[in-house]
Amino acid sequence: MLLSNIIREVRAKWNMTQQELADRTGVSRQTINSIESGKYVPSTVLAIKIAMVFNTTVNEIFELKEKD
Amino acid sequence: MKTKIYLFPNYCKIIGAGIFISAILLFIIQTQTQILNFDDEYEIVKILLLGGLFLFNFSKEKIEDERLIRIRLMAWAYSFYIVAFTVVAGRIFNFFLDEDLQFYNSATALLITYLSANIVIFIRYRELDVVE
Repeated sequence: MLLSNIIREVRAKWNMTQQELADRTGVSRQTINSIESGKYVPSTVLAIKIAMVFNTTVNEIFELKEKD
Repeated sequence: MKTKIYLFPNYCKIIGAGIFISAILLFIIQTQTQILNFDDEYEIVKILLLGGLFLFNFSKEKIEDERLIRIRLMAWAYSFYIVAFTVVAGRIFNFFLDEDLQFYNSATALLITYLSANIVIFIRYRELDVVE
């Protein structure tokens, strides 16, 4: 199973940089970059925090996919 | 959510680095000049090296988040493998070549190896993700 996300797209829509999102969620910019590129799977708390920044739900941003 | 704090504050990293550099400088002074010749076994250098590395390892980053906690765990695991390999390799070397190599029996040497390997691995993985 693979956790994919659309943080990059949503961030672009909100015109927000990685640094701004990192500041608002209390993590480092590298962490946001790792999550976006799929190298790091965030904890539930961080996933909810990210969703709250974009006024949406975790399901809208993160999706569990079958690995090809 | 607050994670349990088991690390020293961020400024301890700078203090640790300062102690480490002073240990190196002291070692150079001791070997190159005759000043401080009462310490033949370099005990002060060893204490400063261990103290500096310890403080540097066990202090927080500027932004301490969950990804860094995972990297910390991985770095400790990998550096332990390095130390374990050093001990085993030292024993094999001794057995086959009949050399009196006692490096693997020195707790100070192994601790310095462990802490330095941890720093290198941690920094390597922390900086792995660059700006897009």
